[in-house]
Amino acid sequence: MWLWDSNILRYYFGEKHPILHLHLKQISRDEIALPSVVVAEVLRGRCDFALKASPSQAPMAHQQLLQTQKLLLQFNVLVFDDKSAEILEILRQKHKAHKRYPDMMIAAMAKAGNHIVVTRNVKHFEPLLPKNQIANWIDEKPN
Amino acid sequence: MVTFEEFSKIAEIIEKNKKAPLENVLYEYGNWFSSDGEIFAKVDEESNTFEVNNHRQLRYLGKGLQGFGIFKDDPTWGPLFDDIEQRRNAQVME
Repeated sequence: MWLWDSNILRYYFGEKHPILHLHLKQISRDEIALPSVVVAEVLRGRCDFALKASPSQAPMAHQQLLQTQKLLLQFNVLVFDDKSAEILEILRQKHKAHKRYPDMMIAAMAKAGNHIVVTRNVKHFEPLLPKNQIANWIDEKPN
Repeated sequence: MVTFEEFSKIAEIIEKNKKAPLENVLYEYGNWFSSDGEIFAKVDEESNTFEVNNHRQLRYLGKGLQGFGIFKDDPTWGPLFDDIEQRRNAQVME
């Protein structure tokens, strides 16, 4: 399974990124999943905006929140499970200097299910995963 | 294997050319609904194929390039991800 980091969703829903599109031509959507970590991050952002929006922005902000929720649920969502938690604990011990906790959660999910993390922030995952479990669909064209 | 693009093309054909003789479409995966939410497609989970019984008023949900570029003109979409990055950078592990 290809696990999308949040920055891939940015380009998927945001700008029809041409290199991302090339990858999508070769991949079935059923092979792609969103980590529940990413779903939480995106919905948190939409919720924050909906709750802080000015009166003139609020109708649009709330509409976007619900639209985003529906769109996210059209993807397979991989839930952070007990096995991921066990691996996360190991990663925490091993990489005490790594400060980005959500990266570590996503890496733990990838290790737990032998998935590949698709991200533009390759450098953040390199200390956590072997190279064959990291892919960049934004800057690297498919073979 | 069925790609995003193939799914999208099928969906587009059905949406734009409802008079086309497309009574029996066998394809892998997919959720097909009428405009009022009724499921028109019979899915065979074993073979991962489905048969479309009636393509009229069908709309395509969930598969293919659904939503690709949908927030292109949303000025809050990019900043949402800048914020996610900032939060990740700030989320120091104890």
